[in-house]
Amino acid sequence: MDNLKYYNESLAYDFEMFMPKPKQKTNSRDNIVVMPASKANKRRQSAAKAVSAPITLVLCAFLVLAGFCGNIALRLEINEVNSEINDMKAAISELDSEMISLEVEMERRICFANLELEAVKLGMKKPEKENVTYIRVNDKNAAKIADGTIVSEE
Amino acid sequence: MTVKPGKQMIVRIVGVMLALIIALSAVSVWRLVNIMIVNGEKYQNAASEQQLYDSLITAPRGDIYDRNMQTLATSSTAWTVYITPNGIRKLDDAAEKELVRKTIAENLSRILDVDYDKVYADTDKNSYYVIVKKKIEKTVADEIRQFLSDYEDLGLVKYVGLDETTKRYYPNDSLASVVLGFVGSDDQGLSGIESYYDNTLTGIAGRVVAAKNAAGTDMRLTYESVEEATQGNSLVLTLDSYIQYTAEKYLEAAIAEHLVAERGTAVVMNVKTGAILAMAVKGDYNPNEPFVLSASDNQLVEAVENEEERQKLQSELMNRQWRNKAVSDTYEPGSVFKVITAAIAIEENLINKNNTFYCNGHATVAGQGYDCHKKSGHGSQSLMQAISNSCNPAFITIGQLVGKSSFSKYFKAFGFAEKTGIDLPGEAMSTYHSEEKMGPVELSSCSFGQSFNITPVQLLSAISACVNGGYLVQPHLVEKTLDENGKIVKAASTGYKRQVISETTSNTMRELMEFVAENGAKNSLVAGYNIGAKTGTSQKLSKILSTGDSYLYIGSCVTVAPIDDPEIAVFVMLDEPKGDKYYGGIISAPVNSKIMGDVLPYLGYEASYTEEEYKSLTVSVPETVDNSLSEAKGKISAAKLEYQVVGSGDTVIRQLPEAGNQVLIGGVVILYTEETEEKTATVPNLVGLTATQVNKAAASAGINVEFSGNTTSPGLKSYKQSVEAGQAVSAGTIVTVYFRDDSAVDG
Repeated sequence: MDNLKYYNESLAYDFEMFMPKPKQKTNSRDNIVVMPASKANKRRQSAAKAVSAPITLVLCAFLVLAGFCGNIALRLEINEVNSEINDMKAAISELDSEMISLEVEMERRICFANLELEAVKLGMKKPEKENVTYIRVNDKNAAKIADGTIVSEE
Repeated sequence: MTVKPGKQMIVRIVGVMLALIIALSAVSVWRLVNIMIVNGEKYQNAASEQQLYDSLITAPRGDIYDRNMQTLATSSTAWTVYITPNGIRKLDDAAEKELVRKTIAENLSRILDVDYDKVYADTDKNSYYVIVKKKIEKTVADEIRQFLSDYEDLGLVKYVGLDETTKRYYPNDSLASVVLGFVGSDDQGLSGIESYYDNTLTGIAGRVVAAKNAAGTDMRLTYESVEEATQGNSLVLTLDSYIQYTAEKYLEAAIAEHLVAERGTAVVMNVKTGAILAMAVKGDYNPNEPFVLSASDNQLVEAVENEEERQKLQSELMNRQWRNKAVSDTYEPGSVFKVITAAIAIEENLINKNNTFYCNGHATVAGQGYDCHKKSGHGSQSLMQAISNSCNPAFITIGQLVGKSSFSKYFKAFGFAEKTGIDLPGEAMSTYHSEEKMGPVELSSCSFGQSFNITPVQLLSAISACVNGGYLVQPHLVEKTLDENGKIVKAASTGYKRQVISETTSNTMRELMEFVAENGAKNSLVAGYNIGAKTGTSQKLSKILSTGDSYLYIGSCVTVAPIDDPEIAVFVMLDEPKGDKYYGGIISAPVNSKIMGDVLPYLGYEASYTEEEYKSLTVSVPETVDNSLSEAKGKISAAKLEYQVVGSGDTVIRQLPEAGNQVLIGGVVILYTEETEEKTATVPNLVGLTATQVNKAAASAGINVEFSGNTTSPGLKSYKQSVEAGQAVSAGTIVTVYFRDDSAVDG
C-alpha cells in the first residue's frame, strides 16, 4: 500500500492511464429527468400509434366495406348475366321447337300422299315407266343433266 | 386489507375452470361428431332437401329416318299446361275467387279446346298441381302466355303455369305406322320400332340442382348445377318412303276393291340382304293420334249399347290397328309354300323339272281325301306345269317322295321352326307338326301349305333363300344407328344365317317361278321385266271350324325380280276377301304387279319390252296448242300417235286428249283449229275383249284407251272399263280398260 502511494505521488511514474477514472459529474438541470433510451423509444412509438390507429381503423373499415360492396355488386352483375343467359337459352329452346314444328309441317305437306293429291288436282299424270329414258355412261363418257350436273359411272 | 388468493387457491381455481372448459368442449365435440359424422348423411340429406331444388331435364329422343334420311319420327319441345287450385282457394274475397276461376276456365277451354266444366271444376280441387292439357305446341303456349299477360291485373300467372316437356312427331302421318309404332305420354316406346329400340332412342336425362327458398321456389341465381341431358341415338331404317307409300297405296285400293275384312299386308324385301324396303299393313292408324280409331271402327264401337262391351270392343279394335300383321300374325300359307316343297325335293335329287306327275282331280292318303282345285284334274304335267297349275295331288306326291324326316329337316333349315329375329316386337312363333307327330296325312297337307301356320316374314325369307343362291338372310329394319353428331354407332350386318339349298337348286327354282309368272300367275306380270311368281289361296281352317263360315280365305302372292338375278321380293296377303273373288292369283297378284311396276324403275332397273308388250305401251301426248298445224302434226307423228284435224284454221287452238295424258301408241289426238263444238263419241262396250279388240273398238269410236293390268299374255280379256258403255264423251277421251286373268286360280 505504501508502494502504491509512492508510485501515485511520484513524478517519475505516470500511472494515470491505468488508474480508475473518477466519475464525471454531468451538468443537469434539476427539473428535468432524463429517461433511459429504451423507455424513450417506447414512448415515442406509443405516441405514433396513438395517432395512426384511428386512421388505420377507418381505412380498414373502408376497405372492408368496399370489398363487401364490390362483392355484392359483382354477384349482382353475375346474376344479371346469368339471368340473361337463361332467358336466351329458353328463347333458343322455344325457337328450336318452333323450327322443328315447321319442319314437321313442311314434311307433312310434301309427303307423297299430299303430293299426289295436289298433282291430280292440277291435272298432272304420273309418267309411265316406258316414258323413262335411261342413259348409259361408261368411264370415258359422262352425261350432263339440264342443271349442269355431270353424271359419270363411278 | 385485501387478502390475495394464495398459490394453492389459484391452482384450484384454474383446475376447476380447466375441467369446466374441457367438459363443455367435450360436449360440443360430441355434438359436432354426432351431427357431422354419426348422423351426417341424414342431416346433409335433410339440408339438401330443404335447401335444394332438384329436377330432371328430359333427354330429347333420337330421330328415326328412312334409308334416304327422310324424317319419319322426331321430337320437339312442347308444354304442359297446369293450374294451381290451392292458390285460388286461398283467396279471401269470394267474388275475386269466382272471377279468377271463371276467367281461367273460359280462356283455357277456348285456347286448349277442352271442356269448360272440367277446367272450372279443376280450379276448385285440393291440389297444387292439376294438369289441364299435355304436349301443346309453341303457338298454343304463346296464346296461353298472351292470355296470362292480358289478365295481369288478376295475377293469373300465380295460378296457371307451363311446364316444358317433349312431343313426338310423325310427319308422314300413317305412313309405316305399324312399323314405327308410337310413344306414350312419358315418351316411352309402346309399339313397333319405338318400343324395340326404346333404349337406343331414349337419351340420358339431365339434372338441375338449384337452391330453393322457404316457399319452395327455386333460386337458380343463388346456386345452380346443371348436368345437360344427352340426346338419344337416332335410327336409319331400311325402309324407303316412296316404296312404302307405293305399297300402302295399292294395298289399300285392293282392300277396298275386294272388301277385305281382316286387313292386308304387303312386304318388299331385298332378297340378298334381308333389308325390308316396305312393310305395309292397312287397317292401320296415325301414330300422332294412336288412340283414335278409324271412322269405320268408330261406327262399330258406337253401335254397341252396353258401356262395358263398348269399351272392350274399343280396346280390341285399338290393339288390332296397332298390330303388325306381317310379323305378329300367323296364317296357313297355302300354295305359295309349294315353292319350298319343290325346292326340298329338287335339292334332295328326288325330282327334276322334267319329271311328270299325274292329276285326276283327287288324291287319297291314308284314307284322307284331297281335291285339286281343278276337279277334272290336270292330267299328266311336268313339274313346271304342276307348280304353275298349283296342283295339290302333284305336290302330295312330291311330299310323299320327300318323306317326313327330310321335310322336317328342311322346314327347320328354311327358318319356319324359329322366329326370324326381325327387329320388331311381338314376333309370333309358327305352329307346325313336329317330325314325331307327323303322319302321312299331315305330310300331305303340309306339302301344299296347309295345316301349319307361319308369319309372312318367315315365308318371304324362305322364298328369298330359294332364289338368291340358297342363303337364308336375316330380315331387318334398321340399317344403322347414329349418335347426336351423326356418327355411325352401329351398322346392320348383311350376312346370312345359313345356306339351305345349293346354287344349282336355286337356279332351277328361279326357272320354275318365272314359268309360273308367265303361265299360272299372269296377273303378277310387269311389262318390260322378267319376274318370278307364286300365288296361293288358303282356307282359314280353324276359323271355319269355329264359326261354321266356309267363305274364309286368304289370298296371297309372292313375286321376285329381276328373275335372272333377283334383288327384290314382294309379298302381298289379303285376309278374308268378301268380294266375289278370293283367289290369290286374281286379287293379290295384281297388287304385286303394280308394286313391282313402280319399284323396279324407281330402283333403276331398265325395262326391256317384247314386241307384244310394246303394243301396249303408252306415250305422253305432246303439247300442240298454239302450234302451227304442220308443227303439231309433226309432234304427234314423232310421238307415234295419229291425229284428226277439226276445222280449217292453221293454228291449233285446242287438243284432245290434253298434253301430258298417256295414250296407247297409235292413239288418236283431235286437233281443233277453230272454235267449233267438240266432236263427240259414244263409248263402246270394251269388256270381255282382248287388247287388240279393245284397240280396234276404241279407234272406231274415236276415243283413246289406256290399259291397266296384264295385256300381253295371249287370250287375256278385259273385265272393266272406267267409262260405261253408251256414254257420250268428247272425241279423243281416254277410257281406262282393265285386264285380268280370271283363270289364275290356285289351291
